[in-house]
Amino acid sequence: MKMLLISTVSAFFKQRTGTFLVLLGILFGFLSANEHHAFAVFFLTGGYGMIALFGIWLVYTLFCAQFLATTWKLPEYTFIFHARTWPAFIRARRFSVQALGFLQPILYYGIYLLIIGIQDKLLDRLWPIIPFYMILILLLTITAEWRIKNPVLYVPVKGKSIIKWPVRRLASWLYWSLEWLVRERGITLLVGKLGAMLVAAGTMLYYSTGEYDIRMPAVGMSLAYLLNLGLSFELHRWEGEIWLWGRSLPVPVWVRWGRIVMVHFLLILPETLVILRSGALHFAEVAQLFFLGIMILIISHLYLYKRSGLPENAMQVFLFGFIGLTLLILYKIPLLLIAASGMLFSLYAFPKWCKI
Amino acid sequence: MVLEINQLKQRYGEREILSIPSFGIEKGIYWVQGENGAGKSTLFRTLAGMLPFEGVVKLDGRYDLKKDPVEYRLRLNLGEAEPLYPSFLTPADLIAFVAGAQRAPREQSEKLIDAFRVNYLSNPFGSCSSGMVKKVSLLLAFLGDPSIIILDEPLITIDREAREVLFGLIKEYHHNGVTFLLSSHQLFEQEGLHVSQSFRLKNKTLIATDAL
Repeated sequence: MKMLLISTVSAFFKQRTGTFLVLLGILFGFLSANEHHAFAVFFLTGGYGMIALFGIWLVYTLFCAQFLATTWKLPEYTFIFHARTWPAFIRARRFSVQALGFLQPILYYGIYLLIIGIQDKLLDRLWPIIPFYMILILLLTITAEWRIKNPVLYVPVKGKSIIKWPVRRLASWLYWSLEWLVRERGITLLVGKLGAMLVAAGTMLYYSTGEYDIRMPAVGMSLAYLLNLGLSFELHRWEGEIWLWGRSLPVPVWVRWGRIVMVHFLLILPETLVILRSGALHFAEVAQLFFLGIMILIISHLYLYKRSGLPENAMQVFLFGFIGLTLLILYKIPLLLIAASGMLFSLYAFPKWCKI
Repeated sequence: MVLEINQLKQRYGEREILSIPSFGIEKGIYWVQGENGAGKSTLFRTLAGMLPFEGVVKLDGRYDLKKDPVEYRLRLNLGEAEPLYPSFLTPADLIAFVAGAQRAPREQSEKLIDAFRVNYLSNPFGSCSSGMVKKVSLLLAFLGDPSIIILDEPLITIDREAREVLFGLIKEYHHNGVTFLLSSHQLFEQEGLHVSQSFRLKNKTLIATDAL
């Protein structure tokens, strides 16, 4: 069972990280709580609400079924055909649990609908989701059973794509770094961005409850940006382990520094868009927080170079760094001044700490 | 001197891997031998600027690896023993990127692609065999206008045709003044290569084999 979940369900979420990131961005960043509520009420009470809900869930399930049917054809999945030796009942049970794994997003949404149903006294309208779940689980179970009984293996020699892009793939370190994060570190990216976006949303929610100046969101957003440290560490590993050979290429120091700044710049855009979307801060204030965020991550990233990775006491260093930064913010040191000083320091320290 | 090393020390944590007080070579083809784990790949990676180190490494008497990192790297190429590239990249991606970095003309890339018969340019490395990946790494080592090309175990996993192409290129580039540092457990003389001198990596340093 564990084998099915790790090899197929986890692989699905890892490979579709980009899609889920966009969805999370829309759900948590661009739809307000009222809009979420309005959608849920429409699904529960609208004339075509439940049909629309089933349609959306069916599209998602077909997406999962397609992944299942094509993935189990890959040469590295030959082991999966040992499942044919399982007794029929055990196989059905395991494939059903696997289906539940695939359907996690819609199961969670069902819980949200349940909460709205209780809150708005619409529980009697909720019952259709139970047969929906059963149909969708059955669909995925049958797909798995069909593939197991029709083992078509192939070795893809040349990638064939229906869509022919008019432009060539980019030969760019920056693009490859982000592509690697999405493809190979999907779960870390998903969790890292979700955490940062939730803290950003929480900060703005708290900010809207009273009369605060920029210092309050500056502290909150510093924490949100610092939550990208895991992703920053992954980028450090990409540069120092996965793409180690790339260090033998003739790239000037300032270009390497610029790459690190750019990749972090792109990395923290989602949570910055969340605070921009909240509308509570002016663009100039958001820009200050953004530059502060870049500075925090660049200095943290440089520390990884200095210590050749994450040492055991790294969390203490980052914690004290965060406390120090909080004090600077609370003592009304202008955010742009802090950010600019940090960036200048990083320019000075980069060639010294990154000894390549 | 094409390559000069002074007081080079290389450590992994507390463990010292290399300690070369002084070493220098003129133009030629050099064979670096050593037991498994002696530190050959670490030495080559250090010379290619992939690992931090203590000491001085100079090329052509003027390009210091630490002081002139770009000029140095433009003149020293490395083909790794067991090259590993991100699985989602294709040979076309990598060749275009490295050719740009090494300032190699487009014709040179095309010529090398033809020579090594890399007819799988759009296949991601994840779906390439180790021999296919190795051929791309050898191709990359010949891009640009290097003074030194280091080939670490260049013969492993490649087919006979690629082997012939490789020796042809070594002879051609050497004729044009390029110095080679080769490491292999196989002999090169039978392929018609005249090796200027052999060194053995022993006790963390390089020793000329005729001095052993």
